[in-house]
Amino acid sequence: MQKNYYLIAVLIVIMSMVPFFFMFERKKPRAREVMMLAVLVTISVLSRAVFFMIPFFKPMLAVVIMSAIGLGGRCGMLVGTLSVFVSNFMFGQGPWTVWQMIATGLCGFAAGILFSGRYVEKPFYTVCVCIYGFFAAVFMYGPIMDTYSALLYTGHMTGKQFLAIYLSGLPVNIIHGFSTCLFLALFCRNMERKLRRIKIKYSF
Amino acid sequence: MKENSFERWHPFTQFLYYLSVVILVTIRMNPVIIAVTFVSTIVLGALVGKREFAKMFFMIYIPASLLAVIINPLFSHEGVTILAYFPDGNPLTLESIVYGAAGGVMVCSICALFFSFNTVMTSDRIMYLTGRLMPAIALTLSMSLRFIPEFKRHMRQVSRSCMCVTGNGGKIKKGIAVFESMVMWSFEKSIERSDSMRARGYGVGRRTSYSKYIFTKRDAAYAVLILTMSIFVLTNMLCGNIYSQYYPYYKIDGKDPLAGLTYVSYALLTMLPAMDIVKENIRWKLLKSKI
Repeated sequence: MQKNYYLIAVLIVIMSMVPFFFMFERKKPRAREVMMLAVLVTISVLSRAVFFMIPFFKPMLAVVIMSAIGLGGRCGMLVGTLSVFVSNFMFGQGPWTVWQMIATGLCGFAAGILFSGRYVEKPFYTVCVCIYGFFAAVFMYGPIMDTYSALLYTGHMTGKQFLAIYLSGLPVNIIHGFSTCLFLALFCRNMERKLRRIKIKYSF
Repeated sequence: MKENSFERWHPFTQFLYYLSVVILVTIRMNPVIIAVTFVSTIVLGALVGKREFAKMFFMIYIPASLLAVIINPLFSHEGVTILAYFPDGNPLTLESIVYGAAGGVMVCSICALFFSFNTVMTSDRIMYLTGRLMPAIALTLSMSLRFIPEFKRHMRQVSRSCMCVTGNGGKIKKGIAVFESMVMWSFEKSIERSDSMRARGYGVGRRTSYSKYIFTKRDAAYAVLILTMSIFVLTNMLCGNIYSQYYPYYKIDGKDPLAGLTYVSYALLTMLPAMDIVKENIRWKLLKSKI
């Protein structure tokens, strides 16, 4: 019998996102939280839309990482998944949507775990965040998307073939990593400052 | 723009259709099922998208699926029918070519299916579906969809006024300034708005949401039809009444009348929206000709 890993993989991906959504629902979020989330999602969607002309050069992941650092891992996950979902209303939904959602969401979640509450506006921390951004794009976002294309194109593969796919995706991922790194270097410090200011001003 | 009759279906029924087709086509990669899906998704895409679809189909979907056809024999060397040898000594097999072709056609038909999905399932329809399960997430989504044009307009305003002050030079620096001012403005605005939401009683009691979709008898009939046919096809597929394998050798098999019935019911299932559109078009033409 022909096994097809694609459907199973998609189910796993969806199942791993659902808890975050229901956690958000169960918490009965206040109006401010909902509104803040919506604003962050919009900012990252717009950042993707502004640079849509340059392939793979996208600041979206950087915006997701910055909001995760400011507001925590769960928020990062939600911003990541929802902003991909919303931006794909403009760029077209497809079989790639769920994979992009989980990839971006996980990068945000990990950023939240690593840096949330620890980030101080000093060059050292910004450099750390930039390095994280590069690695997140190259070793988390990229491989997840490569796995998607490998599974969709040839549902039937061995380790060596997967390795070949990952290597062929590397240049694209490195461009993406550089763009994430660059945008984090440009905006991270000020963005965190703004988020903190809002949090203090309105006692989030 | 005039909606066709598939676009007037209830979102739930439309979603059920897309879900069942995607699951059935990917679950076993049965070649007959893939071929049927290919034809019917192209018909549906052409009916929904017309010229736009033709452009996407020939420019993007066909090359993408050709890539899949080429990639698989290069990587996969399973199969018993050896046609030739690559320079590195790995065999080129007939089975891997067949499998690659099936995969390519599947990719192409999934792309075509998502083309019609993007046209038919507009954002408010998806919002309606998610709003039932996850109201807060749906609220976030709908708010951010509303914010997009607003923020865009604001960004344009800021960059224009920035240009008045500093002239045309320093594009990157100005871009950063515009972005940051937009971020701050949007944060402040969001807090203001959420206060106004709270003042109007958000979070007090159950929220109801408005929807313009009515679940008619026709939608119920189509939903039941889709559900029964997909369950029928799925059980036949899983019980081995229609059977296909690619490795080690290519084989397609099935217990005869039942297999035929399964394929026919799958074809009916995938063609349902296209048939509905054509039926309504014919009825409209007939009604017009009577006048």
